[in-house]
Amino acid sequence: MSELVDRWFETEVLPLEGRLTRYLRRMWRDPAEIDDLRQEIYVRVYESAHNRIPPAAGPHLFAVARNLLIDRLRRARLVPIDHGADLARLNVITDEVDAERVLSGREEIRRLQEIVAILPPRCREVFRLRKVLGQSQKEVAATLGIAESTVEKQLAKAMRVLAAQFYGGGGGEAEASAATADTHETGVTGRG
Amino acid sequence: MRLASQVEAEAARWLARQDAGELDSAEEAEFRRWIDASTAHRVAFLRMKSLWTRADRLRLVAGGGLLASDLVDDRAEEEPAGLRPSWRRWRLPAGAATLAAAAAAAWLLLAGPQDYATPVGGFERIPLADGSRVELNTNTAIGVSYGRRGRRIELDRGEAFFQVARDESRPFVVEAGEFRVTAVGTAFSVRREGTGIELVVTEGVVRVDHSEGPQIGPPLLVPAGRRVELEPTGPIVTRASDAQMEAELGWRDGVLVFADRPLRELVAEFNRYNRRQLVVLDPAVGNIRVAGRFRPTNLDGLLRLLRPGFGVEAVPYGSERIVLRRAQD
Repeated sequence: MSELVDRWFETEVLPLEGRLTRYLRRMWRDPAEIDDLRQEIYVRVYESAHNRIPPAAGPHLFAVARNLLIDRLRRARLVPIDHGADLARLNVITDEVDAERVLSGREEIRRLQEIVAILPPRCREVFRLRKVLGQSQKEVAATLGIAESTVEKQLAKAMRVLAAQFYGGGGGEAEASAATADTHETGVTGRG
Repeated sequence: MRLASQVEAEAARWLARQDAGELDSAEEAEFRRWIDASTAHRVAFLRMKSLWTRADRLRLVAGGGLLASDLVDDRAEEEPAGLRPSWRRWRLPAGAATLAAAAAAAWLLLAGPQDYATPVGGFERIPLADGSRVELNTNTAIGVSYGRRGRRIELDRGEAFFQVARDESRPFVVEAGEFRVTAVGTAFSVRREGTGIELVVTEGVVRVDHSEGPQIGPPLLVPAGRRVELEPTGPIVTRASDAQMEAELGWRDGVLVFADRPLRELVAEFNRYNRRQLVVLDPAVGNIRVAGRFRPTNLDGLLRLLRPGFGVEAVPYGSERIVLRRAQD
């Protein structure tokens, strides 16, 4: 069962993260709390899927998100003046969610390349050798003349940036593109 | 619940640790404890892991650069025999050329060729009378002759992509230098490179003949998903992943897709699109590895990127040339 839920979560829920993040940003005043809200929403969605995997991930995900936000608003000590209005706004139109366009393979690659290009130089080089050229961590360490533990750390760092940008960055929309210049050049890798 | 940023950092650390090599039993136990401790941990790890797997697609893109040297043997294994005719059999008696030309003329009822061309840096979509479509890349010239029994395109120079409307009774033939590419209903691109051509097939099957005479060996049949470089000395057939095909045909969207290739190749590509020509004299500069997506008509964008990106500076030489050399810091 657990594996089934894992798979469902990966294939049905995670691709909606860009939209979920945009929704949370629109609805929640404090951007610093978005990641934590998302984490809590995921936990609720994942745990409820152990009882029953919902037929449509999108509407379910956004229902959970809305309920969480309502809870939070109600529990908030200072009730905002436009409380009613806020609650109304929370009713996201879920049709919109069903229409979410999952990135095609080539868009996905494009996006990954764009994100890799904005990694700090050392981090980018490590990631590139490991994931683009397919070297092992040991080989990467030898190629760059650095400790294997450094390779491991840089990879972990690269993955955090990648996750934040790829999932949350808005599925190919403008939000995450600050790092890409007008010419579309997105990557310069080291010397050969 | 713990802070998401903290949990994510831990998830990324575990992922990188697992990737470094097999966990020993103590580490494995520690990982189990961590991931079972909370759903937040499990979910964060799933999220990282899923992306880690997706990132392997980047490798496919890079594959193009490896094919030539690394995969020669695989290729020999992979290709059905029919796809690898002995090129020697294609070498043709010189006198046959005239015969072939006469045959071609008889075969087509020419309706007066129509010429289309793009300037350096240009791009053009051309709808043809039968519903086929042609896209011309930079500095490209074609002549189109439609007859009752055939559709004939001459690729005089440059690179073009063809989306061919199906018509069994009228083969669609692209003549490119020494080669003739024939399709019925399919999509492919042809690029002239010196004496050879480069052919990328995205749909259906196309047939390539050496046009200098009657066929002696079997024709080369190229199915979708293949990229072929044809030189008078012999064909090189490579199987192309979707990502590679996309890179090859990026020009249709106005971009060059580079995944770890030498700067000199990027320079050669840019020079196809711009009057101002880049010149690289220092081989060390030419060998710098480059990856990314470039808009080839935006030369200034590339020039701006050179110093921060490659440690290379651009020095104008007259009004039409720009020399690239190591930045003097």
